Amino acid sequence: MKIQTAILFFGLSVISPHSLAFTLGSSSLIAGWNTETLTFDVNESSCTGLGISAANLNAAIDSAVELWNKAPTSSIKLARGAVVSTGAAYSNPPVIVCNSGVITSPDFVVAQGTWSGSGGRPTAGYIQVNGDSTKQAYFNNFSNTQAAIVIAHEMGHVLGLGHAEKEYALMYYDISSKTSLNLSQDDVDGITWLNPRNELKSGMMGCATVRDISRNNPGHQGTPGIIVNWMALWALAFTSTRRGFHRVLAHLRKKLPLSPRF
Amino acid sequence: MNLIAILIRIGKVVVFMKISFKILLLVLFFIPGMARAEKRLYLGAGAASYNMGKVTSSSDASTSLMGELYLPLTLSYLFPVKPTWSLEASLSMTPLSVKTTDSIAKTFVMGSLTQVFKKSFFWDLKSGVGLLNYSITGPGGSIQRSNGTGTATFYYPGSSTSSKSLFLDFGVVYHWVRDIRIDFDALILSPISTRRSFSTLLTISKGIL
Repeated sequence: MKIQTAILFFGLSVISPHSLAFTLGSSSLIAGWNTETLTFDVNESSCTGLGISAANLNAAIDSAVELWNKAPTSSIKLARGAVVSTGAAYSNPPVIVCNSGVITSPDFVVAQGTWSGSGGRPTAGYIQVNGDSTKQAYFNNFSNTQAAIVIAHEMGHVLGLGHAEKEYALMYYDISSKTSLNLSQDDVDGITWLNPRNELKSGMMGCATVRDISRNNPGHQGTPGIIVNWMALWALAFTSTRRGFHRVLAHLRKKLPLSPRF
Repeated sequence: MNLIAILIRIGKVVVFMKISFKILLLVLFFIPGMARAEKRLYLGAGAASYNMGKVTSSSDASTSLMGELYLPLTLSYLFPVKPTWSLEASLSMTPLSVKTTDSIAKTFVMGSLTQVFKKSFFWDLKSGVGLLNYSITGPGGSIQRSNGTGTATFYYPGSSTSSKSLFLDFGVVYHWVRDIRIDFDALILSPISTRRSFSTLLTISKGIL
């Protein structure tokens, strides 16, 4: 009986509920961008000149940035950068630019994102948005949510990701079935593989407070962050619950005077 | 009343008694804390729902409440400190890497230190902190996938990386029968970060020492 139980437990533990996997844009990639914050500059004039509202484009960029910044186990932070006049060329920071006549065929490509790199990591990139108003894939023909999905998808390419297998992943090539802007576990795994998060080395659970302090005190990096992280977590868990537990316990003792004691 | 009718009635009564007895046994089996055994070392298996409400698995990309499912094994050791509470060190992990159909393997290892408060003969409450190590290992190689204009070659990662996230653990322990307990843990990963996520872990364990 014990053996059967052990086999059952072990068997349950190796069942795979997963059925998909992320990919990368190049076989040479060994990690993601070598930066804590990757900003995306925007060539607004290239878009407004093609009838695309800068406000709408920036709203889509902000939504996309916010989405990637919620990936739980990733360390890289995205941000919208400066307004620039750079064209569609590999640059660091990557630039988002609108073009007409570049994405001509087929007619359903809304945007393209790409990167170039060295040493196994992306070092430059850009995103170009379809600004051809004669095409059905013209950026303005899409809802705000779909526009944000498109920009987030292309940002995924600039980060180094390739296409995913399942239609619900952000990195799936077709957005037509999507009505919400969300990451799948596959997308999270991809960005995590490229830029894994390590809270034992980074700041206070993502706030970077401890690390920022330690930067001003060379020689004190790393260890203080770990200690303070653990102390803070433990203190939070302990103090926030113990008083509550004792109140509940006191209440129960009044209500149930014969409750067993240990 | 003839003999056959009497026998049928007796038969019905017997069947009724048998069923009642089985129901009684079942009820007795489910009565909690019948004989709580104080064990130190527990071995169990469970189900972890990871990134609840954070990721999507539907074609319209709406978020899934349950997140991703993992089925880890758990080893726990209790250090009695006072009669009313103990410290518990736990290690949960998927014993083999969970593989996708594309052979990307994920390993889920979670260590925690919790303070377990004995609240009644069959209930405990616990809170503490822990560390989740989430590893992703790729097989390398390439695959052809649609890219909107046909197909393109994409690549699987060829090495392993792991992320480490601190978490708060709030849980309830239910001492079911004898040395078997059921734990329900609510985990808040990266609690102060904007990347905060929630997971739950349901574990059934047997005291072995």
